[in-house]
Amino acid sequence: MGTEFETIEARITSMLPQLQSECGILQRMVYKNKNQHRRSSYFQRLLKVRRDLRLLQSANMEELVSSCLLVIKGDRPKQKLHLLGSLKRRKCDGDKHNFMERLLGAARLLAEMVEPILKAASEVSVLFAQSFFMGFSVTIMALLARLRVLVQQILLDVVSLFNMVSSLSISKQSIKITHNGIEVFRDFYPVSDDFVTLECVWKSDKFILLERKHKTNDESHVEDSGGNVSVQTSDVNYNSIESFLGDDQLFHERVEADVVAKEDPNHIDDMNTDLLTGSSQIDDKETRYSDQDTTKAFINESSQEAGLPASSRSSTNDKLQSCPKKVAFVSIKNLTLMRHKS
Amino acid sequence: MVTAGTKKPQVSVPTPPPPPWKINLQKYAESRALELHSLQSIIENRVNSDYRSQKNKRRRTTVFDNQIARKGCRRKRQKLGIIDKALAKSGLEENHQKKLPRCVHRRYELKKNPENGFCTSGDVTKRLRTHVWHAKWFAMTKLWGYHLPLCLQ
Repeated sequence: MGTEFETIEARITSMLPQLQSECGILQRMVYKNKNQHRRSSYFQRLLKVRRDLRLLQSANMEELVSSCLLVIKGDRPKQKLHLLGSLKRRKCDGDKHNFMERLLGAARLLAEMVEPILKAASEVSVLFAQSFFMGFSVTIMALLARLRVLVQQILLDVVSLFNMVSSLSISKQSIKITHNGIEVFRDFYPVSDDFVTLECVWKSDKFILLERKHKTNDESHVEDSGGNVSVQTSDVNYNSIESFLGDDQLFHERVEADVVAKEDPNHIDDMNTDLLTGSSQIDDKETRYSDQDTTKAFINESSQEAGLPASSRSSTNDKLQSCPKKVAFVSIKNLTLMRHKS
Repeated sequence: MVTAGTKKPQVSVPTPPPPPWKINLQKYAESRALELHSLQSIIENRVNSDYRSQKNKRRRTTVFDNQIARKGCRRKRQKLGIIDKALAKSGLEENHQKKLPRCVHRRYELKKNPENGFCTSGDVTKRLRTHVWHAKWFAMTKLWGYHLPLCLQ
């Protein structure tokens, strides 16, 4: 998986400049020879090839490919979150299309470009047979041959990139963001929508693009959201308060927590989810990308218990002053364990 | 607690270099030999090795050349000289139109000779077949109904 996308990245970043240079040469040839050849049928075919190449240039392939690679690599977590969040936007919301839809359009264009190239080449080969305009026809044949190979290879790479990104956008994941020494974990929940998978099939002399639509199961979505909580608690390593501070206020909090733990054994999960709202308050900008449902659940739980978020805020302030690089979370399981040991 | 986020870097596409002013045709084609061979095999399969241009796609390729049209007009003028009435008409037309150069004019006069018999002039005297040449070198006179060169001996 890793080596595969690295190969694709290296290949496609080397091919796109080549495609641009070939496109420049073709436009120059068309410009120079337009007066002499413009009525002939082979030149009309060439103009169609040029039109398709201009469309492809306006699609801005470099930007789309770099967006896909950011999502797959994950070396810039904020941009990855931004791009994955943009996928949740409704399709054709307003005027902007998200990058996956633009990539799908580019793939369709690449699949349709091969046929005019082959027709133009067959018309120019008639010139070859008659040995008319040999310099012009040799140059155009060499140009079209390179264009055909480049277009088909870019189509294959774009299709595999599209499939990688769509499989990533379906699965839920947690992304770690480090900013000024503070580590924050953001969770990405997929939308239960239909998603598209692309496939290329070779027919006689070119690749044909096939699009398949799939549906995500609602049951598996519910199970995933249930399993997410347990996975999340196991991933993050929390530190207890006693290791940082030795104030008398903590004893009072210990007594309160002990009473609550005795009353409700399920309340521990609620405390964990309550602390997550504290983390969301620290970085307000990232809260836009989270689910509305989860934020509503957090708000309801926090409204039920008014006293606890105040204490968590004060504790975070104290921690930041003493040790700025530590994680800004406190788990209550460790507290109960420490109390049992003592 | 909320800190300002860093600005996201915009993806800037570099300007492509301008296309080359001159192309070495042989090197350009040889560097793409593999692609050319594969393309050639695909086209051969498509066309079934029949590279003739279709008749409905042929166009007239000499429309832009005006000289041939003018030559056609010249040929039409030459045909007018056979008949006497046509000769008179062509004479009038020549006077109204711009004058032809003298050598061209004499060439036309020479071509107007009939195969047999004599050509009659305006005042019904007969002319020899060599009238054009003799008129150039001798003084002409009208004797016995003929237009004859006058010898001094």
